[in-house]
Amino acid sequence: MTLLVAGVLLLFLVQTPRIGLVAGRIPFVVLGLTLILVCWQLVRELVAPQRSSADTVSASHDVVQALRATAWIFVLLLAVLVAGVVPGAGLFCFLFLRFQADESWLFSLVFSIALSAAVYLIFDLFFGASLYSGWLPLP
Amino acid sequence: MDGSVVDAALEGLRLVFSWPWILYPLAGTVLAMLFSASPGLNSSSLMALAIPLTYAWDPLPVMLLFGAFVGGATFMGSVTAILFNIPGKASNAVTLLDGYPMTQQGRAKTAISCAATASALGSTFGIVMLIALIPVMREAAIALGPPEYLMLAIWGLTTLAALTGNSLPKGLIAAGVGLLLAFVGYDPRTAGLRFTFGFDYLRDGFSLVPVFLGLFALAEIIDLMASGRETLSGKQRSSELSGSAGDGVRSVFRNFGLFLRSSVIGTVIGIIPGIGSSVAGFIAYGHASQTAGADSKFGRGDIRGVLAPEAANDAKDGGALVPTLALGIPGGTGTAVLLGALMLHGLVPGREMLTDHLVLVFVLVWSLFLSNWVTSLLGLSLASPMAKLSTIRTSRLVPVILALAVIGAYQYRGQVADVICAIAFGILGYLMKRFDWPRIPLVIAMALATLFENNLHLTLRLQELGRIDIWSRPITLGLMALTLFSLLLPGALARWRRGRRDPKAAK
Repeated sequence: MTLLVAGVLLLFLVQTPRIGLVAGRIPFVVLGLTLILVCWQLVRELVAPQRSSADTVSASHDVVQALRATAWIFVLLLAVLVAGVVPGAGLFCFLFLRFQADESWLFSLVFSIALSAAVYLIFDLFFGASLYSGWLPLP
Repeated sequence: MDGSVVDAALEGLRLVFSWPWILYPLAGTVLAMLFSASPGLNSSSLMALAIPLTYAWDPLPVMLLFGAFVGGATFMGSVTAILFNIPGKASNAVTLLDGYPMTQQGRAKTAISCAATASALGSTFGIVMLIALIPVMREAAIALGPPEYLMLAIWGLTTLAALTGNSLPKGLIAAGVGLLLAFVGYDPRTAGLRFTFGFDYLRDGFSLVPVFLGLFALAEIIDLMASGRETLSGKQRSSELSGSAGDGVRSVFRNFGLFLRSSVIGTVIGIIPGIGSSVAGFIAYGHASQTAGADSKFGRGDIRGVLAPEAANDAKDGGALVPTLALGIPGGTGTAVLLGALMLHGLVPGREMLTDHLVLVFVLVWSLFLSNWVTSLLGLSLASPMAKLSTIRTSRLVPVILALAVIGAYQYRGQVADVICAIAFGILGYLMKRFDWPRIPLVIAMALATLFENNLHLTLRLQELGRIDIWSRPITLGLMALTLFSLLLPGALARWRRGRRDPKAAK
């Protein structure tokens, strides 16, 4: 995680030549101080005791679950981008319940339709919100 | 108390209890109870979801709703702590020490009714203290100039970095990253672009709405999915309630001195930024057990072990609003998200809020008061069905909450890029939670960055022109000393704890 943070700060550092001195005075100071702290934290972590093998096993299991969770969020994003919020939320819900949660086909279908209907009724009709309609020309 | 404060308090009270405005705190209370009854979800996630959906609302219903979110959240986490030995959130962790043994002894209803009563009365105490401090806060806010606001921002950030999480460097780094993320976009003085990486979306900087949604709602959902828990509480069925509700209520009045002391502890802890609600509960519990006497059964179902932390946890809410409303320095996660909601609706904490928007401040306060009482009364009567929420399969909740988060992120500005931004911050928030990096300093740094940068520029300029001398301003110097103290405190505490565990090593 510290390396990730260091990487983000280096990205900021690369941008600094494009910023004028007046606009960048305070950000440069904050960036410099944060980089010093990150270097200090990296040294502390290198000196800290290593994890036990039990921790490593449980950590790898967490990583798989976390990657799976993140992948499903991208599935939701794709569904919404392609089909729009109302059909996309329903499509994602169906896929998630059927293939991740192992619910029955019928339950997944009914729940998904109910979710899409609730989103449409509450946000589109009741609140009058304009929901994203997606790339596909759906009615 | 001067007449304008009394008038504003009465007007706020009238608005909260008038029709149809009373529907907002009642709805907010029920939503907060539903969220906080479920381990893994919390009122901060709910507020983060609600911000974009209420963006176009007038300030009055927003204050009514968000006041109820803050007030409705604390007690229900205690129900799962007492019934299942699983705290709804960190602040409820200490309640289970005696609450769960009481359930095992067939006194669950006694424990829950004691918690409900202590919560309602504790929050009332905190709110009375808050109202009493409002005139003082107004005068203090007027006395502050750019150097004081600058040091307040720095002190707030260093205190939060030092006291949230368990590592000062991580907290300070998170705060630094938060400031840098807030600097993205146009510089307000020169209109030059900073750190946009060539993306047009970043010209206006990161909006707080997708940031909050990502860090506090999506991150929690990813964590819930990654935990692999089948139900929110990890259990398949909830317990039946037994015991005497009357005994629980009477126990608060039998131990009224302890209740008052615990409420004072909670209020004082709440006023100090960054010290989390769990600390208030633990300190109150520690005090209760140390003053218990020969009849102590702490850790084995002593009702005072439920009363003390519950009173402190709810009194803290009133205290936490003091720095949030007066100085714009939030006390913790909940008030940080609340601060974001206020700022997005054009309500700037500080002198302006306590003078021009004093009625809205009291609307928030009375809504908090109402929601605490409604939560306690409803929670007491609906504890058993509410507890069943934690046995709902997570797989059925996840699609609903994700859909709400996506809608919320899109609704704010009608940009798909905001949804992508929320997802990115959701992944970041999950990684921070997974690897024990505090999120609060990051988000509060983003919220305070404008205050910090503008007042730093003003202070330096006024100093250059000789209009002020920061070294002769007592409040500024006092805040510098407090900042130094905040930076040194974690190290001193760590050394003290090591000394207590191993006196020989300490020597």
